[in-house]
Amino acid sequence: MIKTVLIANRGEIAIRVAKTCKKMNIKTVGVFSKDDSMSLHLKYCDDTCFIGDDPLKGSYLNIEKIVNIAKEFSVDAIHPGYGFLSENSNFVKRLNEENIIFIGPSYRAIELMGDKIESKKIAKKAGVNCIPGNENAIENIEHGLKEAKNIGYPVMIKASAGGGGKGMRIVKNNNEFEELLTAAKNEAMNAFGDDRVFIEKYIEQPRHIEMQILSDNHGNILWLGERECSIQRRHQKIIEEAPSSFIDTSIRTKMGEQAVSLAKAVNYSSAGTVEFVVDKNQNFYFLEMNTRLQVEHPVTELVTGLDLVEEMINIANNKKLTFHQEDIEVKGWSFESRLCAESPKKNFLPSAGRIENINYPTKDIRIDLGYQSGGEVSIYYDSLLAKIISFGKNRDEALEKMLNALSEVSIEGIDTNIDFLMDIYKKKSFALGDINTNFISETYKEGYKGKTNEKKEEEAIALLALSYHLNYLYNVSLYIKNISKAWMISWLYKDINININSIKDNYISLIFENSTKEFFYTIDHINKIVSINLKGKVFKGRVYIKENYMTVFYKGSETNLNIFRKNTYDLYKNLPKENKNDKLKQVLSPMPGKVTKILVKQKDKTLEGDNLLVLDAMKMENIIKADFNGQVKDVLVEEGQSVSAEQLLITFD
Amino acid sequence: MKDKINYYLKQINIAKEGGGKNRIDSQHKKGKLTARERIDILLDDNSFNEIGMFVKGKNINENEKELAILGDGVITGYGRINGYEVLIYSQDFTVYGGSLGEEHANKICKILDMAIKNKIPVIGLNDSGGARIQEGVAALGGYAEVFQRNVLASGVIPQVSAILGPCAGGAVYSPAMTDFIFMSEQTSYMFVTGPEVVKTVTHEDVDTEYLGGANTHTTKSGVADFSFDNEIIVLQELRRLFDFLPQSNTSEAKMKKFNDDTSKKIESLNTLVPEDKNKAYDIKELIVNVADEKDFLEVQKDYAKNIVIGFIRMEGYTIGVVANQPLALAGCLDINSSRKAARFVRFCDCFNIPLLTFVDVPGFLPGTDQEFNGIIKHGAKLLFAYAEATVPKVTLITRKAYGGAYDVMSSKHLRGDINYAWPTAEIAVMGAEGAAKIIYKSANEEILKDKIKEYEEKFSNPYIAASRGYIDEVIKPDITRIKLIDAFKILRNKKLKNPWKKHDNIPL
Repeated sequence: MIKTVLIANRGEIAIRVAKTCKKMNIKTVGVFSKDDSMSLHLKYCDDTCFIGDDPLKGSYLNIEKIVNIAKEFSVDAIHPGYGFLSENSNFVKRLNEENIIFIGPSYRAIELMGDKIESKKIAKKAGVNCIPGNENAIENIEHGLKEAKNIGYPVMIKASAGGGGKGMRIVKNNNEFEELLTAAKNEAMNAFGDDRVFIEKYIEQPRHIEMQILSDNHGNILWLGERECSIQRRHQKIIEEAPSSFIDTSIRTKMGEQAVSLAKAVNYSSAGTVEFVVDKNQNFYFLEMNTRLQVEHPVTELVTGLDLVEEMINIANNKKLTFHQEDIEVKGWSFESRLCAESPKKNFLPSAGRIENINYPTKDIRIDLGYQSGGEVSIYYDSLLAKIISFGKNRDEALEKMLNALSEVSIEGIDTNIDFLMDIYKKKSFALGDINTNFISETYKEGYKGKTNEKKEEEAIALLALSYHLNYLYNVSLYIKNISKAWMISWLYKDINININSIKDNYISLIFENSTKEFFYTIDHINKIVSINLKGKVFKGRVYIKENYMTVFYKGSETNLNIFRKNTYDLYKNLPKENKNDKLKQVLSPMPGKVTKILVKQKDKTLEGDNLLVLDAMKMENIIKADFNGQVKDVLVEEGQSVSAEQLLITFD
Repeated sequence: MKDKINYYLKQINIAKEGGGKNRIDSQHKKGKLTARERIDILLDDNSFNEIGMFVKGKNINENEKELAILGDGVITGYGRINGYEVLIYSQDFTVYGGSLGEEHANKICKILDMAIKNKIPVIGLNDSGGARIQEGVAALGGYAEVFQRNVLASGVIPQVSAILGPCAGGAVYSPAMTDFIFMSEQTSYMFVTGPEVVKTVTHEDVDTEYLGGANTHTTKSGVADFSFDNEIIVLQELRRLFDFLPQSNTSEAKMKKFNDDTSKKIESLNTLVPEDKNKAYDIKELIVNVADEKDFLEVQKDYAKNIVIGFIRMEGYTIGVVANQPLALAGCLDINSSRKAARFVRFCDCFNIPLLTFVDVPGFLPGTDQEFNGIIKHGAKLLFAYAEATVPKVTLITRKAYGGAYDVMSSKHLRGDINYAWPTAEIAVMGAEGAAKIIYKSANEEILKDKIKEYEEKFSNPYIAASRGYIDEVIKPDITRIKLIDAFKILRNKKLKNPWKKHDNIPL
């Protein structure tokens, strides 16, 4: 019987596992690297132990250190979470030697499924649909070009040992083959220490749909229904749902049965996921099998009512599954949003740093959180801050609950994708389920520019800002009669006329353009959330005061505006708008990280959009591009150098 | 009767036209407002009462029959900002280029006299070409009359200046003696001698913007306290500063009604000080988090960034904050930061604004540059300012408080009323490494390492200081706001008098 579990992970998944352990009366040991010494997951564990200074190789990826800690604390089992050592068969072998239970599948299953080429052979044999393509590692350019020609462009280069989008490149023609092959190999080498890659057919308008399976040590294998994870950026999922709005019952059953037959082929036991790519005619092809708990497992939990971590622990305890295939019933709908520390407006660059304030909603929503206020997002780890998971009777309800929850999240100190997530949920095509893995690149062809507010939202935005401003004046003024009656709210393309009738405590009556509005408002100063109650309808938004303007975040939109007294506004309007000097031509590091490649040298002429250098941060290769035309004056960094945010990298003439 | 009223109305219109439509248009084209428009923005709606609209100066050109312009190039009067009375003068560039003549000066003096007599703050909006040369020595006299009153008013009522156009030569000394200076970017400048003279004398080629623009004075010289994009923002932000200030040195503090939680723990502060002692963090995050409604008005934010000064409110009352900033120069004290903070401490003390000091200071900045330029006397200014201040003084040491800099930063020994420390505080003569190296000069590396560790364990904490009563309480960071509010509450009626003197002799 498992009585103590070491959780060989960090962040939200460590907390997630610890919660189930607590429920099952199992003691937990948490581990941490130097960077994580104040991290939130340690608060959820009964015991904690320092692994090592190094953020990765000397800590979470260090098998011997983790084994030693496991022995020191006499733990019965280790839960690996996802990432890190979760799919490392050597780790499982080591644990077997030490008689420590690995909460997950056998090392053999991990080994077989972890090799992308091997796994396809097995899948094919097990009767699973596979994508046309070659499973052999590419030996050289010529070999690659030949294979690509046989399969037909577009093709996809993928890392043999990979996952999570690393070492993946889409190639459209012969010309760009060599460059992209090199890039994929480099990335694979950096990420997995293995630069083998292979090529397969690239499927256009593909949907990513995966099947959750669960099997015990007694030969019982069940499929728990699918998750659709088609909303991806940089080949990484950010929105997942269960079930999929795309496939019908017969496809679902086929997919489930094929997944089960693959699991059977490798004697799988524990929770696992078989990933498929689905084309527009509902043809599905095997992608890979993930021999671990997936990030997006909660959506399956919400629609099936199961606790997958609990099931994994029971299976590791050699227990039999207590239910059968016919007991599995998918009820309702669930969405998961991955709240990430990144800047969607800067092509999803990760945003590391200190979280000054973070506030999540609690009502009617599941939050699997990894950070709290005062937490530090390190450049060495994943950018996932929290998962927000909604559940509803149907897709529409789950979607609405998700939007409500997202609009109540507030974060200060780092950039996040919260507004971008909201923007996706509000797209009509998303609401209709018209999605594929290219959804983001196709919907935001020019990149995400931030959302401009819709007409019907203007009123709410204006009133939120005005409430904040008038509240200040109401509180600071000697007499209420000193507060001006006539106001103008001014933003980029619109000005709104406001006349105050009366203000009393939290009540405001005013004329908004030509109609009278009466409402109560409240302000949560800690989270900067203003809410107004207009005839029973509640609007909530976040209001920030900048030096000379206010910013209102409202349902995924960000609006900068000014509030002027009427007389001031008239003068402001007539002020000549000076032309600001041309901005300095230089490139600053957008985040802390390590320069891995410099692509330009002194005197090089560069055009807007040219690649300048590659910065490794938060497990991603980030290409820094020029956003102007110019000539390189000086490169101030070297390859291999660590840089801080805002550090000057390259100057231009 | 009707005729008389008509004549009166006509005269008012003439006065309001100032230097005429053409000059007003040219003022607008430069991105500047007229003297009256500025008053409109600065004051509450319809609250302005003008004094001296019909004052006339000498005819500049006596041979011609041109009449002197009503008002003589400066609009003066009184009004309100969010209900509080204020006296104001606003120079009119459209009239004789806003130049200062005898009557112009008299009007300003009248306002300053009223301000002192009635204990009402005064705001000057400066936009003037300088002395009115035609009036000769009378103009010079006028300046000095204004200076004298600025000095008498200093410490009695808050005086605030906004530079919204030229301000050169002798004219700079009136704003220089006021408590705060605002500047508008690109449209204002201040210098003692202009680019032409500079070129003749020192052969330096500079333009007005570089020599004395808003950017220069808020980043290089520290002469100005605030600068903003344009005049409108300057005037709006001036209103905001005014909301923090009392009416005079004897008036009650302004109290802003507040609706922020006073008992909420702020968990994020528990991780503000990084594990790594040599890592910087932003002290402004602490300031903002202890402030009511996270409202912090920073003063001189771009000058001597190693110290942060400004105003917050706690339970509605204005508090002056001084804080070492680890993000700049590791939070060291140097000449500029000492001067910056010293003047701010003295302003707060003048006007009974309690002082909150956050300490994370590794010491004074070493070097010949600092010594040759007199860090000894400049550093002493801050020490002097803290020591003489009689307002409530609450201090919190977040991390380092080393050496003489510990003493300076509102320590218990300088009559600090309540001195807190976080558990991460290190109050010592110097850092562990430096200390061990001095004490064990001849020790080898191995021994030195042990000694550093030993010294660290022994002295790098707040408990030795606390055991001597230099620290009143060691507090967990998350309850800092609650603790500070309680501290200022108990000190609200603090009465402390320094011995009678004509005035002190601060090391200037």
